[in-house]
Amino acid sequence: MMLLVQEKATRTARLDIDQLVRDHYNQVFQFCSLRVGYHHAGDAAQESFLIAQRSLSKFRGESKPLTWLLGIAHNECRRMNRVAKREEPLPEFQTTGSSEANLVDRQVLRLALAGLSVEHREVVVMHEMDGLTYEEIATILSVPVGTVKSRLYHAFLNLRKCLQTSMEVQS
Amino acid sequence: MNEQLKSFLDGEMDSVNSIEFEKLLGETPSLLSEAEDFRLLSATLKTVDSGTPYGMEELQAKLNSKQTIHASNKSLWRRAWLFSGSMVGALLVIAIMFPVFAQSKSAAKRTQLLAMQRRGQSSADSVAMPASAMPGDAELTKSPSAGVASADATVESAPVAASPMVEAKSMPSESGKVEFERNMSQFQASPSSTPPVVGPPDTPAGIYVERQGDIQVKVDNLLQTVDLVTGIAKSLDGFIVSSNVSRKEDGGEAVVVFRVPTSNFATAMTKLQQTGEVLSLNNSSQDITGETVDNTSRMFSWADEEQRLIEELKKAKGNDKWRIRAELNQVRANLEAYRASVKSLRDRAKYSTITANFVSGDTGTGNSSWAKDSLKGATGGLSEIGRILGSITIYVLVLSPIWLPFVIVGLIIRSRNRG
Repeated sequence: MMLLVQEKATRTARLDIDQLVRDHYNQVFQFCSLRVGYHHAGDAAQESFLIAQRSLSKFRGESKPLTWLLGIAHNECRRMNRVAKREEPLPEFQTTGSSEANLVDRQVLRLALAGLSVEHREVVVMHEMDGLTYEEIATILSVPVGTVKSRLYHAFLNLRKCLQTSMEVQS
Repeated sequence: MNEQLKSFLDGEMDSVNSIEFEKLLGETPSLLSEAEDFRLLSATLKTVDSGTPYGMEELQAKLNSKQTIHASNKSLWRRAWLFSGSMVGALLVIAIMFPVFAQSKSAAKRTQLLAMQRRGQSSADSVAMPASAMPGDAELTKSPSAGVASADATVESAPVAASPMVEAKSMPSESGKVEFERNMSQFQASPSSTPPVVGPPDTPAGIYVERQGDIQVKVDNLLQTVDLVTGIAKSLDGFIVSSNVSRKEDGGEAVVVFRVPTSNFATAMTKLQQTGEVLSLNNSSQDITGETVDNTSRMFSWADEEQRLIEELKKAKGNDKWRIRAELNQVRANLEAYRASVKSLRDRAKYSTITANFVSGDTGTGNSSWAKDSLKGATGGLSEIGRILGSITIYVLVLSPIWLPFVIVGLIIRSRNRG
């Protein structure tokens, strides 16, 4: 009887984790890619899902599954960077884009991002590149939504200042 | 207000605030310029290239293989933890329960002893009291020069020997038997809150027992109590051996040692119990029959030897007289030593020693000592907790060869599981 129950529970867990992989692997991979680099993103994403599998019973459904997975991935990426003693890599931007985006020098933007504090950079990356809402960022970082708003605004102010300085120098 | 700009641009602002902010934006050119820059930045940041995802199939394969391993490992891990947890729990229970068990055991033992005392079956009381005045005492006190006649008289009136050594002397069995007075009515009349003194059973003839009693009583007034005890000792034909009174901040203490005739031992103990609240009571008896009878028989032997030498001396002539006289002196010295020893032993049996310890609960100032009592209680509690924790630590450490392997195995499984 016990074995049957255990087998059933295992099967349910397996179904759930398979579903999660199918639905969210790409987002988790991209999330990891921005934090540990493209070459390590596969490992980080896989490890995050393996951790998620082990912790599936602890998931209480208080947040979206993706937010929960990204929280795990966030911690895992930090752990990997800490173990490898490396800094979070700067993001690569697409060379082609909208005409609006082309107005900003991407190289300067990368440098400006590198100049941000860790707290500011992580909210910028999460909101602008990962596409997370303020609420989701607050959940992942375990900070109030107000803090996310404030960090994001000041991060953008800093980025703008950097870009303006750069343009003045160029002109 | 400017901090709201990003929220507005990201659509994270509620509709009411959005309308107000939009109006403000139209009125403030600098804010508008800032908003434009933010929009541009945001659009550029969104063009980030995070690459084409890879590794999903690999992950699915890992998950398939891990699923089974993980389930079995988890089960093992849980089992190991359950086992080691229950072991530690059992140890904790033992460590906590052991002192309680030991206490209850000793309490049960004390109760049993008390019950035995009440029934008069205590081993200490199993030996009966000797006669209050043994025959032959008068003769023993006579001077050595009293000679053979007095020694013989002692032999004839000596009690029946309990020891095999004395059987050879064939002492009379009935002479010297004195009754021991037991005052059972007094025991029954004593307050029920205090344990009654148990008197010895009827005294068989020729048994010598030295009785001792220790009592601790809480009293209100130490000096009055000491006077009272002196009166008790005198009224029972006894005498005070020593008396010591000391007063302290938390009351004081008095120790009175006195001796009463053994026949009055029970009465004395009963009267002592009535002086206050009895804290502890202890009766003990020591059988000194063997020693007494042994020394008595040796004394008789030396008396016979003295008699023989006197007869020889009467018949001796010349140098033999000096030799016999010297021998006689030696024999008389031995005879005196044994005579003194026998007298001392009989005195010990004749009089019982009672040590009465009185404590006073008053502080001397009349104030309540609740604060000190509380402090003492709290300190005691703290030390008790420390003792229990120490015991637990010792148990856990000593039994670590049993539980440690399980913990190590558990940790290995866990780390493998993670890996």
